[in-house]
Amino acid sequence: MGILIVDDAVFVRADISRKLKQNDFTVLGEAGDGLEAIEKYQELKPSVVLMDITMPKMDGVTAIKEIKKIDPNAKIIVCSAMGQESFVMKAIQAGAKSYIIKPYKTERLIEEIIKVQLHQ
Amino acid sequence: MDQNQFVIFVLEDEEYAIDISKVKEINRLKDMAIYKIPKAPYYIEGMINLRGTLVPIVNARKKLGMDVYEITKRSRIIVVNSYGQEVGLLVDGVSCVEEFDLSCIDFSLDEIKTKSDYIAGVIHEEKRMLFYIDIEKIFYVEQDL
Amino acid sequence: MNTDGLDVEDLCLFLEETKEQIEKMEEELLKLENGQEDEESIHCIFRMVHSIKGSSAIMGFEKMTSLSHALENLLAKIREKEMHIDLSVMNISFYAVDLLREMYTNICEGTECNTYIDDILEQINHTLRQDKSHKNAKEEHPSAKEVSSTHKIEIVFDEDVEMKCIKAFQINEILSQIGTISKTTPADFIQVSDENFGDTLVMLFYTEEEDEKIYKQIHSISQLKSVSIKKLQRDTLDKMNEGEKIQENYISKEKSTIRVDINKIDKILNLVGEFITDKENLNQISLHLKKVYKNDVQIHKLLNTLSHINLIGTQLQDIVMSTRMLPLENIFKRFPRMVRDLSLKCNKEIDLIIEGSETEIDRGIIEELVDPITHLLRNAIDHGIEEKHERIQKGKKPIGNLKLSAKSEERHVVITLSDDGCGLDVNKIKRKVLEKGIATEDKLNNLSDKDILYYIFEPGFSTATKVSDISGRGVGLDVVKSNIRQLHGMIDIQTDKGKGTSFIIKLPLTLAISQALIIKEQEYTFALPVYNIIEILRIKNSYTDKRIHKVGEIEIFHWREEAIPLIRVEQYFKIDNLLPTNKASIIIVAVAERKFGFVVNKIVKEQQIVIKSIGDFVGQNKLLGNLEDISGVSILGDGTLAYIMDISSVSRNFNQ
Repeated sequence: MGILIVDDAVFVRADISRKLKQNDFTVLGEAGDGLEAIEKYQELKPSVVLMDITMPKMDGVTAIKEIKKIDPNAKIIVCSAMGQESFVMKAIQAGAKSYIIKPYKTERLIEEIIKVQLHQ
Repeated sequence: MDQNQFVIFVLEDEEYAIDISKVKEINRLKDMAIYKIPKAPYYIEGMINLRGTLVPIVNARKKLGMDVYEITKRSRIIVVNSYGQEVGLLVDGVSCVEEFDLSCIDFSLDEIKTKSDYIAGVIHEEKRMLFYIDIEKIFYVEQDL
Repeated sequence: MNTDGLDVEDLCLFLEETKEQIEKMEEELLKLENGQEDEESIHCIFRMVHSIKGSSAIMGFEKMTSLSHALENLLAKIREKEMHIDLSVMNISFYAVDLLREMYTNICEGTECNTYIDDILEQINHTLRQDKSHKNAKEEHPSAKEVSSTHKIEIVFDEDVEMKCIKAFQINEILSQIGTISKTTPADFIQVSDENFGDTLVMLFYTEEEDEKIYKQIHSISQLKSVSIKKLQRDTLDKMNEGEKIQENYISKEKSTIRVDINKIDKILNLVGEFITDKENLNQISLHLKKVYKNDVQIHKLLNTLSHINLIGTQLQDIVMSTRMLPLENIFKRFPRMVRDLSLKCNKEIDLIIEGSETEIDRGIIEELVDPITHLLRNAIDHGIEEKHERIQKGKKPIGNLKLSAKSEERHVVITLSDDGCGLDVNKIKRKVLEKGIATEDKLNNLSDKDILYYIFEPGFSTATKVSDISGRGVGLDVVKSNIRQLHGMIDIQTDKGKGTSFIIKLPLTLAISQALIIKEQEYTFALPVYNIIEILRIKNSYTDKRIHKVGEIEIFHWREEAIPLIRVEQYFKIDNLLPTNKASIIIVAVAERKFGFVVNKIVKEQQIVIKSIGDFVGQNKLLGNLEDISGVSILGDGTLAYIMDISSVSRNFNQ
């Protein structure tokens, strides 16, 4: 049981990481772009991935597709800003289990993580 | 000798007796929420949820035409069985359970009976005087036309 | 259907095109049936349907869109050669074309489109799935064919869901894995913005899976407040495919049955009732806990388990209820003889037609229906249908017609008794009301004809000019009304002077459990049955002022271009200390084809309630008096008593 946080902004990663740790979740690692996310996924085998959409090198939607190729059972929650319905839709079609809209409250994030984990 | 047990309750300063065989239980008001019933008759205090059974509550003072009295710590609900239904009677207080010889009850006091339909007789015991209540009459409603 | 704001030119163009397309479709279908031009015809029909789907969506003709969408799915299968054209496919297609034409006519005439398309949608999906199941059956176990059916799924989102269209899309995707979705409301949800979405998604879903499985699939999605799954009636499907029906009958004969003491079932029903009360209580507690311990994993597990318990509760209830159901035939079968005897006695010739006697209703209700129906039948024979010579004089058929029909509607059963007799005479009723001193002339003058009709249900009223030994036994229709009321039902009259009268009785399927809106007026808690509710409006102060008009004592609310009388619950039930109503809500209810707005101060929530009868205490000579406006009491999860409002009684008493 552990979480991989993917976001290009360092402070966002740090913030999520801290909040999750405060609530007794294990954060296995962080990645700053899609390519790094794929590497880290193979290396860490996290139970849940929090995936940002707009990132340098490789965007979130593509990363989701790639990760799903490696592990069809990967549980990915896509994190998006408001008004990006079309991207979220693409991410869901690519295989993301769930989505969450920034800015969000910690409990919403926790709710999504638990929901994704409970349903195999 | 025919000894009968009666539950004695108080209204204003008088004591009243009802046949114990009719009484199912006696409850304190603090254990019971009385839910008022909209558009119910004046003497209906409300309804209680007695462990899942709905029990309407009759305010004894109102029903007997007395002044209305505030509910106090001593107030009680006497749940009785009337024609197979459970009904509650709100009284000022319940004092005790007593035994009386049936021969103590004077059923012949016509002038009292005509004044109040619910009083079936009077019990004389030494210096005390208690009113024997016909509980069925309290819960029976005459068609008022 | 909303055609406001549409350009007239657009509409004309649309109508012209659609007409052509429908005609073309029919032409090609006929060709297909005659075995000509297979391939090209199918493509052509497909194009037509596709185009109707698109244009009707733009014009906002939802039903047309849904139907053409479903038909397009069917045709796609045929075009891709995944499915054969057989008689049933042809029949469906022709039927669909007929319905499209009907809708087209409605639009042309500018009338409300009330074409009923649920059946055909179900048929189309049935055919689609059936075809698939044939294939599966051949590959796997030919004998283990599961009973499949269409479900109505209603999903309510949490208040704070963002991007509802995506949530809907997720649900759509996940359900598509185990079945077919034929219809969604909102229809094209991808295009709907959060503001316009509301909080509910409704789907018609066809699957061979159990409810349990559907539920599990849906519940992998987060932020859903509630999920309800209802199986739709299979009648239409059965009619569609007689062959299958026979097979099913055969199977059902093989099913083993046991006889059970009805007391045991009643006991189970009571327990289920208590279970549901506790369940509602648990739900309340869990919501509270969720607020306090937002981040605790265990709470989320609890919520998950609870929502499963909710589902089990609903299923349990449905199953127990179904074991108590009996077809109305049980009582209907005694009426033909009765009608025959009575008509002989009155020297009238009457045909009784009985329809829908297979409709099922709770056994507790069925026996209670004998008296009111008998009474209404007697009434119709005695006073409704004229004597033979009179009928001939009026140019009617000498034989009178009496029709007793029943049908089920959602969670209700509707029983209608119609005669083709002389109808009710409003003036005669008026005279009678005055004569008997039931109401004053002033009052009557203020009432509509429809309101005056209802006086026949008043105690002491009898329309017969002379008392006969058939229906005039000193008891009037007021007894019928109170019988129906005891069953939490409603009775309505439709009459056409000289042509006949219909009595329409609407009853709940079961007595014990129903869905209600809980409202609070100071210390009083009320429950409003949801089947009467059309809309709930929470109105801000300034807004309220603009739309509420005072006409003397009466307040009128301007709602969807209708003027609706308002009933302030607080005032109506004579609850003291009127609060300022700046936070009031207006609940629009419909009863007997009329609408009222109930003004309430606090809406608590909608929930299932277990109805307890207070019939023992209510009535003339009874402890609680008449208490007409309350049809029962429910004990809520926290022990509070809620009074179940009898909306038809309130609205009628309000009028009078």
